[in-house]
Amino acid sequence: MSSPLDDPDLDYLTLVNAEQQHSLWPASVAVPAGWTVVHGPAARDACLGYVRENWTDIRPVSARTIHHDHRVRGS
Amino acid sequence: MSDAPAAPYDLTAELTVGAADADDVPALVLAAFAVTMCRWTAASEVAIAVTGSSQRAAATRVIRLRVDDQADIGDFVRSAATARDAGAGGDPVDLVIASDHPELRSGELRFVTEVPDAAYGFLADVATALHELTSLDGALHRVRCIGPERRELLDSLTGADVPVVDIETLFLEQVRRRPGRIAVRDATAELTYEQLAHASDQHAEALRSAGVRPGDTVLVATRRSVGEVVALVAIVRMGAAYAGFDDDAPQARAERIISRLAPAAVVADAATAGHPALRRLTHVGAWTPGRHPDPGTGPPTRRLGSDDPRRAAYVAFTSGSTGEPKGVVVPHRAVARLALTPELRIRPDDRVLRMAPLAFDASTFEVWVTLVAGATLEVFPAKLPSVGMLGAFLAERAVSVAWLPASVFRLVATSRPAALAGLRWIVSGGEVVPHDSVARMLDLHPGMVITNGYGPTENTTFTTTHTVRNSGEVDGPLPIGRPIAGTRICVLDRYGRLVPPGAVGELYVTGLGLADGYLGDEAGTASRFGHFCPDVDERLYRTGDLVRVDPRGRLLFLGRADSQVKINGHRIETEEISGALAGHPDVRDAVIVIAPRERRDTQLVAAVALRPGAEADPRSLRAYLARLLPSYAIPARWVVVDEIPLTRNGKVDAESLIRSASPLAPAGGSRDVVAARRP
Repeated sequence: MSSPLDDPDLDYLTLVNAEQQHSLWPASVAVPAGWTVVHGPAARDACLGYVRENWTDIRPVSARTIHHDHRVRGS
Repeated sequence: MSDAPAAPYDLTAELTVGAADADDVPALVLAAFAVTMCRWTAASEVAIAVTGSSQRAAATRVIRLRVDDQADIGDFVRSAATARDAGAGGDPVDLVIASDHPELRSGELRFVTEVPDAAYGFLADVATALHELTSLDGALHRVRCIGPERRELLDSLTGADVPVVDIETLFLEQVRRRPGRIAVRDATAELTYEQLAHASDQHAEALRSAGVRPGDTVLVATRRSVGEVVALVAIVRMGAAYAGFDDDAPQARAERIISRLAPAAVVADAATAGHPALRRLTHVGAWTPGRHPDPGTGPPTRRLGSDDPRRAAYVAFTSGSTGEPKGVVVPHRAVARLALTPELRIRPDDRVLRMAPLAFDASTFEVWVTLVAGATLEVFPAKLPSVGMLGAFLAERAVSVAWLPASVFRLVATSRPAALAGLRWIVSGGEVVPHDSVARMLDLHPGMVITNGYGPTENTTFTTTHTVRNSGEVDGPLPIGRPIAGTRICVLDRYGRLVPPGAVGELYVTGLGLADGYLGDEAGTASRFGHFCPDVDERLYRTGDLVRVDPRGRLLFLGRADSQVKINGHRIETEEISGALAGHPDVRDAVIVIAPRERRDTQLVAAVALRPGAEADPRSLRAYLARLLPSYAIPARWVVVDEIPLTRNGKVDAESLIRSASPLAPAGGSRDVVAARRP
């Protein structure tokens, strides 16, 4: 089932939610509630590139702060 | 072709309520049927034959409608009004509408394209479509064909509520409640819950001395043993996350996994410590009986970890589509929801088989569902089980509950079903669970319960389950069932929109079982996990599996969305072929695997295990199949084996079968058939 959700020729957005979780989103579709556009519209690879550079810890942000005191070494 | 009977329909009520212009009524009716058909089947074009009632055999028109979700709703209805008769001689039609009513308000509907379970809701969805087509503006994708009652059915695809909690809290509760019960046993040692708590305290201390801190990852490279379970409990209790090491993996893959994981330490035993991939890591010896002074007494307390259910418990590596290993980061709450779901409840007096490789997430079910229930883990010693060894072990330890990969289950059920006689409950999955083997086991062992467990690693071992208790409940392929606790599922179309109940779509999942994502692969995480549906306001994981919901609200698995097996354009159901082979009296077991070939059509490979003294060979079996199946479903290459080989994760070892299979010369050609044994 081919899908615009993974069509490399379409434009995309990079979205972020309150937990700092990133998601790719087709630029042609309305941005869902609770998510903010942080990059795009741009090519799919560019949006993924933004994610690679700006999302460096996949844990939800609320889970990260809890561990902050414990973390001696970086990941 | 479907020989479904014609079903009467009547849309008079919907057409009276709608403010439809009388001229547009037939077009509206056709448009509503066409868009509903597309929502159910994922087609983008529908051909409808319109005829008078069968008695009068009036002239037939064929209307072909393109359903473009980006098109304007009004334009789409107009396209139905202006569509010309495409003629009956062209491509086959999908639907036949027989109506003597000039506006097609009522009549009979017959499906030519098969739409399973259309009797359950298709006409209700057409009525909804009619309403939406007359009341909505904008693009056609807004027409979902899902009325309020049907939407309720979709919203009910949610498991029970379950507390959001960490697994250390749940484990310590069992230590308090059943301190003297055996938690884990192998050939040389056993530990009660209290002893396991203390041993894990000691082991955590050793890990800490080696530099492991909360938030770190630890590689566990021990063989299955009491020491392995001690390591898991210790790592989880100190707030670190474990990952299982697969010492069978090619070295390059092992190195890639280790560099992605960047573990603070590795727990190894004598059998694995020398593995070259582990050379540069900080080693911590596995816990062994007698190595430490007797554990003290007194209630164990929380160790270094916090009780935050969002912290990571383990990382499971799966193969991505590129072959690059992906580390799925699974938090405590996801494991707790698996351990607490009513569908998978283990009793405190159960003895549970510990056999799955730790790198494979079925081990999550074995270890944590058992330890959270206060039951006993019985550690199977051998790396690769043979049917005989497994049967002897199950009997000797009086094991009552076992996870068996679908292929192991099939193997045992066909070759030595008595080996599983002592089990009260079998959970199977990983691949399609063969329903005929399930029915056979239930007939042979009254009282046995069998659960089909389905789920991607990214939603923590199981997403849905389906449980059967007698063979009368097995009337075809087993459903994958309903969502477990803390889990919600949605079936979406290619645009990420909900499809009506019964329609084919891709499965998306969400809830407490959702992984954080892929370790060190944020881009991969963002493309697979995310908010993919305007109709569902939650972060979803996209499984890539095609499913539909049956009339009883159970999910049916239909295959992979991205890799349907097609040979010469024919959709192939490999189960159908292996099922036909298994019907041959000389065949004990058979599987069909797909051999991809560069720039050429994929090939079907048949692997068969024959009964003792069998006279059949690949040539006679092919002739047998040719009488039962269309020519495109006849395997091109064959291999005879003593037993179907399995990978370490218990899946059919397709690669080794493909390597050993030989082509069969066309009938009348070369006389010799090379049939490899023991691939």
